[in-house]
Amino acid sequence: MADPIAPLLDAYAEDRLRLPICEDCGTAHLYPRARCPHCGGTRLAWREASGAAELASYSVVHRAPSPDFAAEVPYVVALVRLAEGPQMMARLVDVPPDAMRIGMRLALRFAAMPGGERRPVFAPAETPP
Amino acid sequence: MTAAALRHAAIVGIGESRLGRVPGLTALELQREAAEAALADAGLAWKDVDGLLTTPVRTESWAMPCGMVAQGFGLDPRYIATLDVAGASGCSMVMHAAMAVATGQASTVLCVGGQPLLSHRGRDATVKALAGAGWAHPDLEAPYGPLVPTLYALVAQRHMAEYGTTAEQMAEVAVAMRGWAAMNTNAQKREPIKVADVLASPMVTSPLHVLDCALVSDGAAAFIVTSADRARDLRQRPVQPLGAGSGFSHAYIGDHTGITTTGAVRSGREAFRQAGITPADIDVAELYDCFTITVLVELEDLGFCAKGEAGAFVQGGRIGPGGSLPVTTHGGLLSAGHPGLAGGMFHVVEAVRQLRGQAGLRQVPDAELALVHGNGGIIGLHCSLVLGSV
Repeated sequence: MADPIAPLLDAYAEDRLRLPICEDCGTAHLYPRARCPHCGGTRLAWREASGAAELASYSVVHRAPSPDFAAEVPYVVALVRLAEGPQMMARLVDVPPDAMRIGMRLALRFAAMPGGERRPVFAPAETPP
Repeated sequence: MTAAALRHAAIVGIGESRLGRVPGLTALELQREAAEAALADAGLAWKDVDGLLTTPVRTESWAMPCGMVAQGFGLDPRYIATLDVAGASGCSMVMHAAMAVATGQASTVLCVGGQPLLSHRGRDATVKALAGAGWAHPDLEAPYGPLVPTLYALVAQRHMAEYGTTAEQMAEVAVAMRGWAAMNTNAQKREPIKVADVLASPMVTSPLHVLDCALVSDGAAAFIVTSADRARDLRQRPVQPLGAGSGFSHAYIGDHTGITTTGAVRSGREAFRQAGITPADIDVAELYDCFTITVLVELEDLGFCAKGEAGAFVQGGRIGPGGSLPVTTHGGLLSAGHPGLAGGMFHVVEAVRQLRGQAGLRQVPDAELALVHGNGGIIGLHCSLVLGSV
């Protein structure tokens, strides 16, 4: 069986966030599974995410887990809730420490992680006019 | 498993190795200290053991931990397994040993685990090694650089935002654990601390300070489960499992929406249902305390208080010495010690001690019913036990 995460990682390498959406129940999910976790459906279509999200939680990391991360501390590891519903881990970038608020609106970017991987990160969304 | 079947079994022996910094010993040597203490406590000999449960260790290259321990101890078990429910393993061992006894697979099961986690590599190197050990999803989480404490910090930050929980309230948990540890001569950290000390300790991963996090320790624990019939003829007052339950919500924290509610809801509900009691009946609660936030979430999910109210619940020393709900009375992972998967076994050992009335200075008066809870992984794996003295 194909690795259900592979399409997500392939898209990351192109700076794209695509989500598996069930063609039976219409629900998007993460982390990717071979079957829709909501209805069990196996017909999954990969669609481009809007990139809109809100901050579900965060932690400012002060101690690097490995030498790769030592130059980056402190950095912000976050959980974000995508507009399509699913949740994912990410980095929160370009936000002053006193401006971080759970529930704040975020926008998708891509960045290289210290290990070299291209990964989604999120920055504060522009205030709508 | 029905409650009636669980009650065919009893815990009849408990033991701890030296805990804290115990240099120069292998995992097997630490486990032998604990196992010999448990056998002596029960009045049993090695030849009486016909079942073995153990947990994986990080400090040895053991492909088959139960085989290594059985061979190391010279056992001849007819029931043998390595059990791994992460931090919930201690509670789960009691459940599985009771099932083995109830079904006749063994008459006397030695449950033992532990390792020299601190001496092996030191605290900081161990924390770093754990960050790459698979607790974070290797592709979807680890590249962002979370420590294991970061994964719990996400729960804490969300709990603070949703319910107004404060850093001071979380610190109360650490203070309570240290208060209990001061009365435990085997505890790794015994000097008293105050809320201000927790808040002044270095920030590891906000909102968790060093003193919000478990220790890294050398140590091992053991307990012996046999039939209730046999237990009557042994040295100690038997302690019986009256209810047991497991719960699972997720493997990776990022995969779990609603992170402030956990599988402890299910495990606790089942354990209480089987025992025919409610949280209000519990005299002492030995709750898994890998981080201060873990205890708050468990208090809520197990039903000791409503969701969102644990911060206020623990204020004023309510779960510490002299408090109305004594919690984790040996000092827990935060102050007594945390040697990895065996860490939660010490909570079982302490519950038995309390129910026998052998807890010395930290004895909870008239303790007859204990709740023991183990939490594993990133707050996704749970096992709850109700234990009672016979």
